[in-house]
Amino acid sequence: MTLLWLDLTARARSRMTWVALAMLAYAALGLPFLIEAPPPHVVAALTAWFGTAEPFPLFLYLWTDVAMNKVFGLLAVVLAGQTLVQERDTHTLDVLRSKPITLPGLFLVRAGSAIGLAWGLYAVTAVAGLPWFMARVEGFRPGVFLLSTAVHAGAVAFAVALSATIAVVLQRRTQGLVVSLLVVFSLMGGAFAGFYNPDWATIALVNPFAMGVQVVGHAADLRPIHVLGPLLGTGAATAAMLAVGAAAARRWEVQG
Amino acid sequence: MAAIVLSGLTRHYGEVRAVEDLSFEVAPGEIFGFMGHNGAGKTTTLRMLLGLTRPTAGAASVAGRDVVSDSLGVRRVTGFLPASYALPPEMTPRSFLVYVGAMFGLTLKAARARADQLLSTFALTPVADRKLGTFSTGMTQKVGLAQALMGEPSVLLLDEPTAGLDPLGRHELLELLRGLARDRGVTVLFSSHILSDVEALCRSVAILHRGRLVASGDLAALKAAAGVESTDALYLALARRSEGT
Repeated sequence: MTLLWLDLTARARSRMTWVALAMLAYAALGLPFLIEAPPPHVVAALTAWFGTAEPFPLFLYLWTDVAMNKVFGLLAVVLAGQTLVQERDTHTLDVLRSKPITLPGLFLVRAGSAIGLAWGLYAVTAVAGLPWFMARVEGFRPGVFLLSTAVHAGAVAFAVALSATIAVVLQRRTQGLVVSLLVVFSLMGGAFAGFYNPDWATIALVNPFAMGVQVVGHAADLRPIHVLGPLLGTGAATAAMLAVGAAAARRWEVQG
Repeated sequence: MAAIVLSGLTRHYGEVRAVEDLSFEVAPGEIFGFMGHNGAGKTTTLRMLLGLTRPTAGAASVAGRDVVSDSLGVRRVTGFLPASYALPPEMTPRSFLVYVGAMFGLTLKAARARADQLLSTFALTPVADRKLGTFSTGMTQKVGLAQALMGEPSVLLLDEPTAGLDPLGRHELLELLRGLARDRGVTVLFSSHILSDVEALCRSVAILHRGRLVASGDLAALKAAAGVESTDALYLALARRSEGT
């Protein structure tokens, strides 16, 4: 745990953290202005998908899909899309591997700290934005907003784990980044499929990103299952993805 | 019991015989020279000793630990300085040494204390909080050596440690290694193609040429047996004999 904490704090001190915070601040500050006069076709679509066109569900949808999904989709790849591969190519791994830690162990530390940093950035943005949203968004419900953010953070963790795993499976920097971007954004693109077409509601939940947006689609009729189910689901998917990544790192270690 | 034992250690990469049937021993507390030209197989051997590269055949142990079945145990008691490496540019010497300490399972407090001690030993305290990305080669090498000592190793594997150091830095490093062997009984496997450094530091050596051991033992005795005065001449004589020229 000490190593994980040190890795996380080292990441947090990098320039990337400030760039990410700037992106998140821009999204948080700008979003309330977007929902002041939504285009009629957006209102019509939301009414069809979620059964309501109130400002708060509209805000929650835009916050989760248009803002956070896009920012964290990119951030997941930037934070974890070169896990161990960058260290190998810059010859830092030669030093780190000589210590009493296995390559799967190092993979879990690096991926875990990337998840921790993504969560930290998400939490800071959501909590810091709360007074702003309460002042600007009609009918804003802080409890539902924070629950939705917590559930979506599960999907963010999965995105980071997925990017890290793709990196160690492919073992190529550029290909890893491109494939990560394609896979993460494809899955994110399908996150709301179950709301767009109710016939797909169940099968869409195979996608961890669909689980991560469950609160958004149920803001008006929120029940514990819409929070606990996705939290468990994204947690299990993230753990499974990290296990795949650790196995790939193990294979890499044995090849060495 | 020898601190380092190699027995028929071999590594092939397809048709390439990087290391072939290497056998020698290093006594505890000894500074042992591991000589050879670039590409002779020194780095591959050191990587096998750390358990980072699997031997194709043969066996080896470091501080009584098998390098294949207990490679983590080997790395727990071994400090390693690679020939070619980089340190995380966004970290500082202090934060990096504490990070390495955590890899050895030290508590944060113990890791900080050990890091401070090493920063002082290597005269790095004034730059302890500067980013490593701004460091010169010589200063990076000092941090590299400090990280190798972070786990208080009983064995040090150093791959071309004097490369990139100025004459003063080289002198300080050789003195430090002598002190570690003399005062703390640390065993040092000093791998280098700079023969004058090996001659200045080591009594016993192993000489590698094209992946094969061409001689090992007491350096003075090897020179006497070959009828030469200098280590340079010894190396050339052995390499030529090995080539059959």
